[in-house]
Amino acid sequence: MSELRLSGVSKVYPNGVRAVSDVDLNIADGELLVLVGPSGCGKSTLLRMIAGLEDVTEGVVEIDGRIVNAETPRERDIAMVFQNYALYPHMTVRKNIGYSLRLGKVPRDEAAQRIEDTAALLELTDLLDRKPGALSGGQRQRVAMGRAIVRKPAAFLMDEPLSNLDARLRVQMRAEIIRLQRSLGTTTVYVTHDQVEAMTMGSRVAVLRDGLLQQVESPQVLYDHPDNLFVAAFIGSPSMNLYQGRIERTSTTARAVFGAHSFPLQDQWTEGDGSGGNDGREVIVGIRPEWLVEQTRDNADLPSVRVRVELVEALGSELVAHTTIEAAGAEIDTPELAEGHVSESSDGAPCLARLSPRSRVAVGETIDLAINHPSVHLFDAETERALRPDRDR
Amino acid sequence: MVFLAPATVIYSVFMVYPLLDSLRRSFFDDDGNFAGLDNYNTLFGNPTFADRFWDALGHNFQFFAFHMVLQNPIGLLLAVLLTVQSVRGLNIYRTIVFLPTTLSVVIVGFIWRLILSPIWGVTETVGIDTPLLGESRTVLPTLSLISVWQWVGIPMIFFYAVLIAIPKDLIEASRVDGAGSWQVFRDITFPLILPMLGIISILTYIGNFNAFDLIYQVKGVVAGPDFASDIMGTFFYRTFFGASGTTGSPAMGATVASVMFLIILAGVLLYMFGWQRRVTTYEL
Repeated sequence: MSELRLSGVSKVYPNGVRAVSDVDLNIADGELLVLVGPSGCGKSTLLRMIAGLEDVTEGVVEIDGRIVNAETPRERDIAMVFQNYALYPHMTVRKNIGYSLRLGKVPRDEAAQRIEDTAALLELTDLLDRKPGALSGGQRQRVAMGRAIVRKPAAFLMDEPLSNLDARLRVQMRAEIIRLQRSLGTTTVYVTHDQVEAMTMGSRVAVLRDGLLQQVESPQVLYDHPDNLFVAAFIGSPSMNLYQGRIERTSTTARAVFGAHSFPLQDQWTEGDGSGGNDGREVIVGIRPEWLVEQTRDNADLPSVRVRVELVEALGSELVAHTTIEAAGAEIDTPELAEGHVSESSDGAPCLARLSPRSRVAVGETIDLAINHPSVHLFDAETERALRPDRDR
Repeated sequence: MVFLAPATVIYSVFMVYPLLDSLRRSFFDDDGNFAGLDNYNTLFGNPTFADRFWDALGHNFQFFAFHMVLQNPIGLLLAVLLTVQSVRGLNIYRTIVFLPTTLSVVIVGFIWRLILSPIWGVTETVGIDTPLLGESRTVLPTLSLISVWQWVGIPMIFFYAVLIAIPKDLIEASRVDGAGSWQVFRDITFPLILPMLGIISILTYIGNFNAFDLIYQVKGVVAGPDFASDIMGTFFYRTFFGASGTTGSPAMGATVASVMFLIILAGVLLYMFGWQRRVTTYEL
């Protein structure tokens, strides 16, 4: 049971690469915090600094108010689960799980009992005398968990523990880790590059990019109110459609114009001191694929966009339409976010829509999609920060 | 089959046939008459042969012991040091340590004879007034150390190859589990390099019992003083070709060679059945 506190933590490698910059993060006792970001964003480095496997260049790492910067991993009393499990190949499952107890000079009887209890919790009892080489991927993963759990550590650190499992097992283990973490109530930091994993597991999610913390919030807040363009594009799958646009205001109305389209903005954007500071302001307009619905007679009053269907993915539960829209797409210099988009065609930018599986859209058609949402996301084109009517009007 | 044939033929003609023929000759006298076990009786019964044989065998085991106690542990230590990431110029150290291995034994022997020369070598400057290569008491340990110096690069490279193959994750996992440097080595690294230790040991054994060139270069075939540096290789050479006035006997030489073959075979069998079956190599 512990609280982790990072203050101004940075990591600069001898070759000058700045992997982590000035991260402030508090992880409450018993919380499961997910660190998410594209590969190379410094999330693993941050985790390894908490574990003591990596020196902290600047800043302070505290565990329960105790500054641990200078402590070795063994003094910090934290357990780590590695991406490749890192099971000791020459030891049986029993010895793998019990190794930390042996090093910690736990009395033999107690150690044996704790190993048995942990094995029972993870359904490993029958496998205790096998060696890792004779286990399946899922079983190895559970042994790696067991090795962490048996210690009753101050905190769990998990470095992409599920990324080596196949999709079905991953979903299963995801649920199991959540269940275990809840029942044990151990403070946990979980690193992943998979935003779905982040959203489903974390009570709070910390988004990291280029070593900088972007936003730390609950999954729903991250989804609803991304602080900046990167978070907006990173959270959500398929990711948000983003277009270059600008705000056009009159004394009574305001709209976000992008390409040939526009979206009426809430009243707040029109009120204010009348200085018209936002008139013509360059923005990036964000529209979630799930806001788009086929335009019918019932929703004809909603703002709409006209798109041409390029590709249709019928997923059973939904239908993802890859379309192009007459607008200029906004570029984000993170390659992973480009995944899943149809490459930019001659006219217009890609636009993804998650439609009802009953939709009858056909490839090559030009259709109107209604934006079935009271607002769109607006980001400053320069700073990429989210614009909020209450503070940025 | 077809692809294996050339190698099989060459191997048979140049390795298997001479070996079998040498075994065969140990049962014949120098004139080609079948002699049964007479040669072996002479080797073990006639004091002129037997005393030299047991001496040489004993020396050979001492020679081997020096390599096992010094060469291989030092090789391992150097390999471990080479894996320490924080040291600069590791490649240079690796090359330097490996360099003597690439030198000809003739040169190594010559260099060390100069270094250890009692007249103007370095021994006097460091306060050793014994002629290390000239006294019965010191000659074998000295030659063993020269050989260790020359060959330590081999176990080092072998151990190094295994060490760098151990995933960093494993080491880090054990550190997080609470292991200090010594415990990491004892519990993780060492068990994982154990198979290589066996391979290096058997190679050392084979190499040491076939050793000849260094002693021959430094001390000649009589392996002086007073046969104090005589090992199986030099004993065989004298028996077969003769030396300092005595005539050689191909039959007796073949007999010595056969016994050497059996000694090495025994070691290899011990390794295969006593060690290799018990020590598992793990997929990392």
